[in-house]
Amino acid sequence: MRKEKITLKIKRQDSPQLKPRWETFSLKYRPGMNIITCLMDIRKNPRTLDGMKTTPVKWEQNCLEEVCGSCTMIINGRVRQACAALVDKLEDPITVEPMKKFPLVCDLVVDRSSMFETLKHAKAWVPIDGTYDVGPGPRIEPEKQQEMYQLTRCMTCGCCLEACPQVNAHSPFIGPAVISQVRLFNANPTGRSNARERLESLMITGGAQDCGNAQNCVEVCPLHIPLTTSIAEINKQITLKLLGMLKE
Amino acid sequence: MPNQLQKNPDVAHFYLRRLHSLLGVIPVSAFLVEHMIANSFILKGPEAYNSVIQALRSLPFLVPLEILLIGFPLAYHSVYGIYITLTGSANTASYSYLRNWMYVLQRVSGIIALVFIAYHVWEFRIASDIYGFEVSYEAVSKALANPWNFAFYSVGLAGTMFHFANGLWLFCITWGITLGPKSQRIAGWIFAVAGLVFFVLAMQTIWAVVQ
Repeated sequence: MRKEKITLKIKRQDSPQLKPRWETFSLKYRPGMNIITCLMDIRKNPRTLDGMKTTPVKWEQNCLEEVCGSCTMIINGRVRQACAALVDKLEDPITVEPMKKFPLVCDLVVDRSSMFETLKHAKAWVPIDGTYDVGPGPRIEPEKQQEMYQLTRCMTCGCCLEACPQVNAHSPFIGPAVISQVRLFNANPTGRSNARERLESLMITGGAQDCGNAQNCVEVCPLHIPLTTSIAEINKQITLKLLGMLKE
Repeated sequence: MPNQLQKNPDVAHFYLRRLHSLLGVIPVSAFLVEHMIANSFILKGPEAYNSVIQALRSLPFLVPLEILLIGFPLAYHSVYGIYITLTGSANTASYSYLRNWMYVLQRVSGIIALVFIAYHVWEFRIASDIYGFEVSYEAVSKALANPWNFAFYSVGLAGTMFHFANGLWLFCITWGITLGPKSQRIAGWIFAVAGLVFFVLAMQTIWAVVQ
């Protein structure tokens, strides 16, 4: 029998300048609860376990079906999406913290815009804009489509960066997500024309070479993207480029 | 962190990191294999071992060869390895996956190997030149007869062999040789067996010399 109450310990911080604090909440258990519904319940009556009135916990959410990545946070020590974190499968008390590898905004909200900056840096797109219609691109074989589809599922949630021991304040590593996107756009027959540029963008301080192969990224990726294969594939493309053997 | 990226677009860093990886295999690992094979002559008795040592120490251009092929690559690999270790942040408490442990062990074993090799080079190479004693079966036997030294060698060899075997596995990814999980798993087994074989050979060698 599941107990009637659940306990949530949430790391709160009103602004990046202020000190973080832990607040404990006791909630009435309902079947099928997830961390987002817990946070919503707290918002209805923001009182801590010992009856003190507090402010509602702030968090980000959007799709509520694990495809947008905006509710990514650390739940019981492990990074994941709050919407897909079912209370029935979590050990009580449940600890909820914001991600540590991104600048904090407040409470459970962090600023992940650095990931978008890395995508711009690596030119992670296919340039087709011009002054006239260039027509349809080359056909892609179904096997290759499947391989590329896996990579397109990335939602830049930041789980892979959060779990990476090589991504931290004293390391320049760019993280696995963008390396996997370079693999995707280098695999595209039209995108391939910019393959060199993208590889060069990863051959600088913090580039693909700074991966430590702890392989946590592939373990925590909620969409099971083969991130370690992407990193090895980009390493291969860079090696071929060094040897002057990269196919145009 | 990724937001530090554009502030410091240093191309040299890429080559320095890949050089670290390359030197770890050629010549450092290659020398380790040669060294293990040469030392295993201990198993054939004092005369066989002494004649191998004699032959190696009478190589023409010995000192330039030692500095260029062993000293410099090893020093670079060590210094850059310490830098890499300092840029890491172990998180095995939250993410206790096998490969994450190997990531930590690669750094720990690297430090163990560095301390061990520094002492080993001093004991049997530099000290012999300074104090003018001959490195021979008798000298090695005497040094390893001390149980503390023997224990230190056992730990040092374990660290070195782990770092060697796991390092070869990492090399295969860093240069894009093993791409998918399957090939990486196969490479993992191959290098695990290789590391174990060399560790057993090394232990047999130091055990034989104290008998």
